[in-house]
Amino acid sequence: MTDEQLMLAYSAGDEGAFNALYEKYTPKVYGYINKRLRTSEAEDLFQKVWRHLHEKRHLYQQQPFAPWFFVLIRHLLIDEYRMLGRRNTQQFKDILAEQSRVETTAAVDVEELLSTLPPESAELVKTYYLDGLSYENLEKDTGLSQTTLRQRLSRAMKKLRALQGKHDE
Amino acid sequence: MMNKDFLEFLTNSDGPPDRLRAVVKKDIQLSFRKTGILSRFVLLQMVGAVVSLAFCPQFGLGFSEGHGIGHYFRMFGDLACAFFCASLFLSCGALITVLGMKSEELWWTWRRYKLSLFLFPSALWFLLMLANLSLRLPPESSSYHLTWVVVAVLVQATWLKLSSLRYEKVRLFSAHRSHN
Repeated sequence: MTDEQLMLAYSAGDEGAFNALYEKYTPKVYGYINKRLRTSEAEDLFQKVWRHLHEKRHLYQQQPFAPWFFVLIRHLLIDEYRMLGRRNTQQFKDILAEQSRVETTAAVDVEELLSTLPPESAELVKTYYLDGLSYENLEKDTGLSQTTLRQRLSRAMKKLRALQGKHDE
Repeated sequence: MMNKDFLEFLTNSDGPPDRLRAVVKKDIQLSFRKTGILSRFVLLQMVGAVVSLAFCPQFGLGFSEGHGIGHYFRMFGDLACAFFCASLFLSCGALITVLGMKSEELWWTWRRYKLSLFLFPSALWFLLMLANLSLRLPPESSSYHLTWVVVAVLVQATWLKLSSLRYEKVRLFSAHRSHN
């Protein structure tokens, strides 16, 4: 199942779908916020993110799940910065400055970025990271082994980061 | 910035500590059964309240007449009586709740509804005390009622906190460790 299908099932009350999303996104969520907050604050926000997702799950309307969830996390991160009184930190200003753009261009920006990759790699990144297909499903679809898939994804993401780094400079 | 952040988000692999991972997962899983859990909690507290009337002289439903068991507490003074009385009533409700619900459900209720748990049973029993419908006893002093409420809140909190801690330390983490 894709992340979007899982999220729809979760919205409809499927606990198994929640478990699958939770297992997949836990490292992403925690890793992201832990780099921007102190550990104890990150732990609190991690709990808030999942509670918030649970309470707002009915608002999900089949858009790509990863960017939608990412925007939700950034909203909560901004609230957290405000609550902690860290309005003057550079990190907060950076996040806030980008927030309005994030909401409207998250999916579009990613598509643009993917277009810089060879089509096969772009498709692989899209199906794994954005559509949420597992390695098992990708193995069936592409006929490539899981080891090869991991290597190709790793190389593609390395290239994307390098391109993004150049772009930011 | 956005792309960079989003890519970083997608590729993060630093998971949270096992304890946090297990707590949040169980918390959300139990949230699916929110209505059932809360309804049973309230119902069992009510059952506890009714059972406590067997010891209570207030509504004339107890096994004893007059002050009943309250007579013995009175010998230690009014405040001691309030202390015993509140402990007994709240423990009665809490005990029945602990027996009638799963420990994970009590853990979740305590985690999510601490404030309501402080207010609900105490307010209910406090009102019943004030009503004092069937016994024609002289009105109690305000210090008596204050002691009663404070003890009631503490007893309720202690029961649920202990039950919650026991679940979190003994069952949730050991289950999570064996699962891993």
